[in-house]
Amino acid sequence: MASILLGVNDLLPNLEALLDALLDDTPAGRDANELSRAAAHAGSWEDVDDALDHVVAGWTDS
Amino acid sequence: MTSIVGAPVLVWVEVRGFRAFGTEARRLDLDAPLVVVHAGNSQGKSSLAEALEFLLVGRSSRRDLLGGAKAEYNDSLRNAHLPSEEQQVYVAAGVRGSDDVVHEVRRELTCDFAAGTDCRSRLLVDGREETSLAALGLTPTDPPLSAPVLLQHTLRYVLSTEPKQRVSYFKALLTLTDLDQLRQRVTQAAARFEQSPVGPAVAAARALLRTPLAETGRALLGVDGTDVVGAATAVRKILLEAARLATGMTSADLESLTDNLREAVARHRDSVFPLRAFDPGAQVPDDPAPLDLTRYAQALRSADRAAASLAPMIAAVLSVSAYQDLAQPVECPVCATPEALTPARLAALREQMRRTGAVDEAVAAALAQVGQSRAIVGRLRDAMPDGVPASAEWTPEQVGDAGRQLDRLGVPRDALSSALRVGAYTNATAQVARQRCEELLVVLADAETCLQRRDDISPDIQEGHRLLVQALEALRASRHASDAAAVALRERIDPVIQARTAAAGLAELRTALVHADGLVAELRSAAARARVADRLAAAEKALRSAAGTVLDTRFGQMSGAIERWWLTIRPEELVGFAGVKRRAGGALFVNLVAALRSDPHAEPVQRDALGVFSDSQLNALGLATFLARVQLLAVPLVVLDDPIPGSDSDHRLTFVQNTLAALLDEGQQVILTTFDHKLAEWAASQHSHREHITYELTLADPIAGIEPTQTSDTFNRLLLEAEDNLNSPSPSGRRGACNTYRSAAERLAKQVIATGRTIAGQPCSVSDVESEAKILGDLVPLVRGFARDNTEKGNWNTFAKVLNPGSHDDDVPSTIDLRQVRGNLRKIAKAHSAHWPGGLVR
Repeated sequence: MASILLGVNDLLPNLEALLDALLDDTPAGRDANELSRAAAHAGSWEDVDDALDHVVAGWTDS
Repeated sequence: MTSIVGAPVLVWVEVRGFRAFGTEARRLDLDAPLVVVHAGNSQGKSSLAEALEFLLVGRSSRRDLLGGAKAEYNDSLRNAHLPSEEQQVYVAAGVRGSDDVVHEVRRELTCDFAAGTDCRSRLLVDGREETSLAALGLTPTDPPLSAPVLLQHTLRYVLSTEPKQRVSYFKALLTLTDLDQLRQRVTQAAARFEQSPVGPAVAAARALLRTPLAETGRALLGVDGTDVVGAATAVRKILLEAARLATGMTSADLESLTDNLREAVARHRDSVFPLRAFDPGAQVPDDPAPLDLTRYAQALRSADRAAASLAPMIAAVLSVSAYQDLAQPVECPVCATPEALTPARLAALREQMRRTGAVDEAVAAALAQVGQSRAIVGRLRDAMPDGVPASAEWTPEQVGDAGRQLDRLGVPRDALSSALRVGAYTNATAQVARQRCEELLVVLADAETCLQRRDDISPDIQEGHRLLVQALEALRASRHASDAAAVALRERIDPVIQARTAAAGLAELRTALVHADGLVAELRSAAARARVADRLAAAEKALRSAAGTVLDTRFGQMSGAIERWWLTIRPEELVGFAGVKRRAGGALFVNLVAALRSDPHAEPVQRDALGVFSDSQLNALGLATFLARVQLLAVPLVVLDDPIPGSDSDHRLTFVQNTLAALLDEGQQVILTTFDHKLAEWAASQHSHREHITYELTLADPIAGIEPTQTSDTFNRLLLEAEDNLNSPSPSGRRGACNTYRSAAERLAKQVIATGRTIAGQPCSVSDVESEAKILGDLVPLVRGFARDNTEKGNWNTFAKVLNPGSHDDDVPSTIDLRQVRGNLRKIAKAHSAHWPGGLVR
């Protein structure tokens, strides 16, 4: 019996599934994708906050 | 045993002090795909299941899911009957990992549930502290169901909870809470972004919105910053026009307009109340340094005072060039005495001048010091009025006017009276300090004259300095009180003045003017920020939609899995399960859908399962949901505590033959606890072709705790059977117990002999021994050879004698004798199980 769910011990175990569902090529979809990908390498929720703030700062400066 | 390849297997478990487990550490062998534990009500089934939950995840879902106040679960994990000094509460287990090694796992309760705190534990794996059993393949899942342990409160929780909590439960079941958390973090990031402060120019323009100049504020905030030069011109035009309308001032220059407005604002404020008259003014200067004329006094003491006083005159004589090489006496140039100035006298005068030179230097230094002091004290005197609030010198008419203004503003006069009183006192102390300055200046002027004359300095100079310092200290103290009174007055009046002046908007307009240069840049920045805020809102919406899609996919998978397990419990029913669906496609509510058919082939009608399912069907749905999660998460172990309620006995056979079979076929290790002896029997008999272990739990002594007896082991089963007649008052009853103990002793003897021979290299089974010797009398000589010590040898001899008369009416052993036999049989079994590698042959 193989698991059809992803590993459950990671911070964002369903991120891959979320990214698959974010394939629509709209500005909002691209932004949501960018935010999600930024959080992908975070090791803690504080890291996620930092990553999101970094993306937002980039949008502000552009 | 057959299991999921590489999946961990619970080989044994040992529990002490946890819930109904007491002072005796109890160990259960679990090394089989199926372990069936039977116990009557309140005999420890749920304690065992919860002990396994605690072992796996270090907590109990009872407090989270059973309802009631958290405090009701305080101190509920540690056995209440344990003596207070007994602290050792643990659940230990052997877990065979993918490396085929049995790892020893031990979870110790370090802190029970208490007021406001969760329970805490310490986990050891092979003696090393760990945070979870993930490394052994037993990964905790999302709470509240972190462990694969189905308890009565988890079975019904999903059905009894509110719809909003149910969606959380399903998300936890599906381990989807991370996506909700990500969305929350994005929302929080947007909030952080929007809360960051705006620039001073935009803030000033926004402040105008609350004044009669709101139109100006709106116009400023509405300036299009795309064209920087055009925007700056527009800002300037708006501000100049606003100033003209508000004050009548016309100016082409924003800078001068700013200054004019500042004065206009001040005047406007003064017209409301002359608060500026209470401004504290300059700080009281530091004390002047004391004069140190010691050097001068010492030099004066060591020199001839008369000569020192004549030094300027002698110096003039010696400076005459004609006297430099004088050989003959000449007339004295001072007193005109003929031939009075001789070469010898000139030499004497030169020596005198050398000695008085030190005095001159000291005089010069002292004069410089006194001059500096006069300058400082002079400035101090001149600064005295600066440190006194203007209100201190108000006339009675001005005081009266101020009081009436306060009356009009609705502010009590007490703060004004206090400020005026303290201000007047400050003024008086300032006058004293000024007087002291004057006095010291006079003394310093006298000191200069004394220095020039090489006279002693009057001690008045030190006294004058001391009095001045004293006056300055008094002034500082009164200033402190005066400042405090002024602050108190300001705090009472300022809001009123602000309100009156804000009503005009002049101060806000002036602030807008001050920051006018930065407004265009800030407006551009604000526009950019608004665009970012819109992007964040849209991105969050996209994330919510995508998370919904993921949820639907998972619900689809979940629905299929639940339906599959539902059909194992409830095959061929007209009422079926049709899926888990989000209500109206939202993320807040989840519906469990029932499919209702009038006949097996009819098109189903869908209804909310909670509304149409019977109590029994709801239990089945809870069980199917739990098993679906276990399947989707590929959890290798499942603990089912009373999965089929007593009221649902009609479905025990479908559970045993379909549900249990499906779990075991998939390689799941199943630990089933039940109060239902038929369910226990049927589970064991239906799956007798598989390895299985059965247990009976009893709780005779709440301090010693639950006692497990392995009934799948013949010896243990016989011991348990004998219990029925052990306490019988009649000889016939005890005879039955005696016969059963004899059978148990024979069984144990055969196991010991078979095990001993096998270990010695002569493979042997219980049947082999049975073909050689059947009855206890024949077995004792054989088993004595494997006895662990002489006591055991003696015990075997005694068993043969005590238990044989059980067949005769005239000499049936007493209950006390039989208990003694039972205890010794258990000790021997335990000793041999521990002694032989792999335990006793079964």
